[in-house]
Amino acid sequence: MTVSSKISKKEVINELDNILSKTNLDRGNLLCVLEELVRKFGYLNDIMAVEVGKRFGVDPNEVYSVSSFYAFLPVKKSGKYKIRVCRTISCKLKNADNIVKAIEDEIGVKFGNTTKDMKFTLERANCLGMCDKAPAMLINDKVYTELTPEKAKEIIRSYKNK
Amino acid sequence: MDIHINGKKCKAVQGETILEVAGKNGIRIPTLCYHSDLCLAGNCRICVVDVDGARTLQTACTAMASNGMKIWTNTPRVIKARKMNIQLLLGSHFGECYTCPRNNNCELLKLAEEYGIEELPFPKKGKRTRELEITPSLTRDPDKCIMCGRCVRTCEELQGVHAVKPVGRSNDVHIDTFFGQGLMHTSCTMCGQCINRCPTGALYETSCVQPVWDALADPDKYVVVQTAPAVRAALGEEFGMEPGTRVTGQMVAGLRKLGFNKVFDTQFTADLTIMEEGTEFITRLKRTLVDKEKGLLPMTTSCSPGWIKYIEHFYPDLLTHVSTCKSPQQMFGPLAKTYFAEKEGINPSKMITVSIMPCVAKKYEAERPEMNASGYKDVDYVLTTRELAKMMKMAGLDLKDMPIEEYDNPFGISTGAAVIFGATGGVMEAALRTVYEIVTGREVPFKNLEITPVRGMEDVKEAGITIEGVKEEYKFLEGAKVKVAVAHSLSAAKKVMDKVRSGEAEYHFIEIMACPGGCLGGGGQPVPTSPEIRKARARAIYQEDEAMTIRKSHENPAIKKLYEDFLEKPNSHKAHELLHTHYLKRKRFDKVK
Repeated sequence: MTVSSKISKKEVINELDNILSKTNLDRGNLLCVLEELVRKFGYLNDIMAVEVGKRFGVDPNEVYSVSSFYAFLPVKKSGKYKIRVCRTISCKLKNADNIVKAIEDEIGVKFGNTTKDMKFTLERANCLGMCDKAPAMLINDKVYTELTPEKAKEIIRSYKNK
Repeated sequence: MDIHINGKKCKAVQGETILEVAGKNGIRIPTLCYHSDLCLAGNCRICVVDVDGARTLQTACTAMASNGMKIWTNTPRVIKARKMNIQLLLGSHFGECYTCPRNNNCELLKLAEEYGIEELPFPKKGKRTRELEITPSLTRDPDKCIMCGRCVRTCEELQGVHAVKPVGRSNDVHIDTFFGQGLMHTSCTMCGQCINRCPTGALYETSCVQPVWDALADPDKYVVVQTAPAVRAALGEEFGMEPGTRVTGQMVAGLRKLGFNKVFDTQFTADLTIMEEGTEFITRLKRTLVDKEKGLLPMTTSCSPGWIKYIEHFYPDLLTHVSTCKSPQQMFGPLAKTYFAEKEGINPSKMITVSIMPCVAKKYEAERPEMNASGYKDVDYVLTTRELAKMMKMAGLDLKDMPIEEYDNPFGISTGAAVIFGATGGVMEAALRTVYEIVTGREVPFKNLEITPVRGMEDVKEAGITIEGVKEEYKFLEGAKVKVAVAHSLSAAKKVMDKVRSGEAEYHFIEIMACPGGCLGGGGQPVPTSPEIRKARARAIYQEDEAMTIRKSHENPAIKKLYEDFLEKPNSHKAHELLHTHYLKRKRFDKVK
């Protein structure tokens, strides 16, 4: 995945052609196509909503509304590494809030924001299914469990030079 | 089949909801997200009922009746659940009722009263979390929104515009525009139908009441007012009268008491619109049939500013089909500031023109930069029917106590053809009454001038009229069958315009109104709205037509005089300068690169 700073309409159209050569325009495939776009561009923007809407015969605003519902279909440009700390009850009981605080210290931005160098975005996610190894977090597709504030900081540092 | 509600045996038909059966049997179940104009949602859970054998409470608005069902609408469990749901909604609802535009007309507040809410066990939202969005026509207050989704369904189903959608999830969910770009940068048509269906004060018109008070109080200003046809058929509702009560004379008296220097009627310029648009239609017929020009027919009406903004966004390729006539409101403005000002020796820079409209899109229309044909802003302020009622109440006036008074001259003289502009099909009927007579010299061949095929609440109506025995100069029309269509609501407009775009439509003339029922169901009319209320208002409009002595626009003596003294003839150079306009090709989303 790359996070493009500027995405042109042409790039979006090319990528959509590419994705749609492998899948059909059944409305049920809308989410899969949006996922593919996120995989390619890192997030969904207004150009993509318009183009996807055109192909599926769905209003672009409906595409936006649907995307906004899913945490994994971001509708805002975000950092190269998306850190998602679990906010559900098991992790919360195991002090996930301290993990968030430690990460905030390490990357220098508050929860919900992206670092200036567009490297990290810090978000909270619903249950990651790792309750037995709480607290847990996800960085892009990789899961980290049984975190302590120190361990979390160390993991973040390892991404800084990647 | 039979079902039992609260022990009473009720007849039900397959496919009926519990709410419908209860309603027919006089059993009230409270609702909030439900609206008779919209599809079912079942998300507010105010209408929950107990059903024997069901594990959980059922939402009466969505649950279908089935044979032998036993339903209880008022058990302690039901009351407790409804009460808690109301409390939860109140907790997430920001603001104080006494500063709310919907003070005294709020469905949430009414429910709180009905269920005796005396305390809020949940913390109340104490501060704003989202900003107000203010456009020339409407204001959105997301902090007052209770997420019933009526505005979303209105915009989607009724209007096919999709300007607002639910965004986010869980406690972050809110109603927003495309990527938060704002109503002014998306294809919102400013029709305001969402306002009429919002149960709370989350949507309302952007008010012009204060600047109008200021103008009235300014001794240097000469303030004239015009009132649209549909206002007189609905204003009474704001004063507790039954829908469908005609209050024309009382409204005129009230406006005079508010201090307007002249009380005029938009119906005068509705008659003028018929002269201009009728003449334009005949010209377009000739250019198409004789000169074989393309892109001129069918011609569509241009009175509804919601429709204009819709076609500019959604069918910019078909703009040549739209009549170049301004709406009656915008014809009135420049005539007041030129013809009338000259006649009366008033300095137009000191004149303020106010219009009372059943519409919020008219506010946007008045702000369009091209609307300054008089050399000044043609229409200074637009007030909705609701805002007029508010002003009257502030002045201590009750419409019920008002005497019946007449409009001022010369812009107070109008015909029955003008009053029906307020109902769907009315502009078409008025135009046919005039065009047929211009071309043949005879009255339109319908009993009592009532062109019934274009009346009524069907979303798309069609009619045909064969033109025979034409006058010499209209020989090209001999034997022609003129086909017309009438659509109201923008989803109906879409049906018709898709056919025009594909070339499938054989129409010559199309009337389109953005709002269901036409202007009488406009976004500036009293809240609530329903099919029954709109039918009652339509009855009032047609009664008003019948009661008029003159029923055809071309027989309006004040219009004849206006042409003699000032405009020369329909579609003259001067008429074009003051009364005609052009349109803009717009994108769906102007911020998308």
